[in-house]
Amino acid sequence: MNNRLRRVGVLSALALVTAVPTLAPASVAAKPTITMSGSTSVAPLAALLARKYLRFCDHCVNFKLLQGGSDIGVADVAAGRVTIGNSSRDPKPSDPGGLVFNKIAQDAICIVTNSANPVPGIDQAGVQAVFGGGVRSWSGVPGSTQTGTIDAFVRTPASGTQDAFQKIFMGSTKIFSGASQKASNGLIQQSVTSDPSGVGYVSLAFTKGVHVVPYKGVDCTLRNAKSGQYGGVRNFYMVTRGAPTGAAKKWITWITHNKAAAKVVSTQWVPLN
Amino acid sequence: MTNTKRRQPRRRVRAAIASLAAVVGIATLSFPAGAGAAEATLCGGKLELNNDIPGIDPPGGLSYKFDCNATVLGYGVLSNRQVDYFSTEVGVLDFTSGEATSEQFGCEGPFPSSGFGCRGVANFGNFINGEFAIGRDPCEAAKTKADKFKVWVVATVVQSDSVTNKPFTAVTQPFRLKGPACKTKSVRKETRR
Repeated sequence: MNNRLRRVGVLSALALVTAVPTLAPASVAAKPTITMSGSTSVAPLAALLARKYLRFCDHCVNFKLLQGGSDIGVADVAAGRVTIGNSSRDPKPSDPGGLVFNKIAQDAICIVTNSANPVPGIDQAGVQAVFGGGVRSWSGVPGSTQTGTIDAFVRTPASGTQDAFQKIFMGSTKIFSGASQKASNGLIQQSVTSDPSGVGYVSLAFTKGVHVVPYKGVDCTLRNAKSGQYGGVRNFYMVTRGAPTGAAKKWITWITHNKAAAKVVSTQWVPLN
Repeated sequence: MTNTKRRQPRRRVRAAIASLAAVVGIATLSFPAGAGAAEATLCGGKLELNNDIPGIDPPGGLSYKFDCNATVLGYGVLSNRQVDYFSTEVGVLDFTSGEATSEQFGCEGPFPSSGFGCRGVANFGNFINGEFAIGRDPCEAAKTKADKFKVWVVATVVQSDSVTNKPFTAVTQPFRLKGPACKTKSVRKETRR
């Protein structure tokens, strides 16, 4: 499939959605719209929270949710293209000035292998060896039932998950250049699901159908993430240009302070309170 | 007042038809010269009630599953009910084994709205399997025939020109998704009362 075809396909699909605004009530147009772009890890949470918030505030706002990766979200909000940039990574010195990273939740990053290769555990040195390219065969990984070449799946550079994984798990060790880059958690999940030699890392919400490898002797579970026992936890942010104001301020305040919002977060992520 | 209320579903249906006509218009514009020789793409699928979506209080949760006889690069899901949630990452199942493939879609759009759009890839015949939620009980009895809950899918697909064999993209007609199957009394009985 060439890129030109894909571009045309994407444009056509987006044209369909924008061409069909007619069924919503007419009063919707007068409400403020909060546009969000960025992290594919934050997007599932943002979608769930938006539904709850619409009911809480009696449909006081409209939302528009786009994706693209954390770096895209940060760049979009800095340029004023969106109200909020969703980010699953911490601020970087290279980020544009004037941005406020509003922390909304935490998320566990899990190391995953194919269900036919239930690796019993891995420590930080093991993660660095597998994803850094120091160990290229499963026979070099203790407890692995596979013997062939390791197929490492990593995220694209624009990804916040990639940045957080580098910071939390890899430290100064560079990721192996031969690893396959994927654009989303779901693609890593699908790649590892269908490849017995696969290994990758995903947000906790994307661990269905794969084996989740305990890290430093601790299972990557919501309970262990909430208790602080699991070491691979990162922050989720809604980034605004300056301090949030108006509808965006109410929305972010509701996420961080309302019990109903915390209940939604608690289904797959770690709430702040 | 009552008449106005009764007219609203009809207006919505008319609006839906107008929207779908626009979609078909876009599809027509995207056909290059000579592309008319390609075979028509068919898509089909169904809806199921889904009360197990984490973070979504029932009722309102739905699963959708559809496939097309062509490679799908994007699709839109449209409904005559207000959509207020959709899964942002959608998996693709192999049409022979039913197992997950490495194909996937990412979905974007407004809430609340009439639908959402997704981009990615699903190869010929593979099943696209996602979730969304509406603001009302999908099994709520329709007050009129026009008010019956309906969902359509429109896909951007790759077709091959039967003369030159060159691939090109096209947008399909809207295909209605069947279901969901509800255990409640039939709509006709409710309406008669």
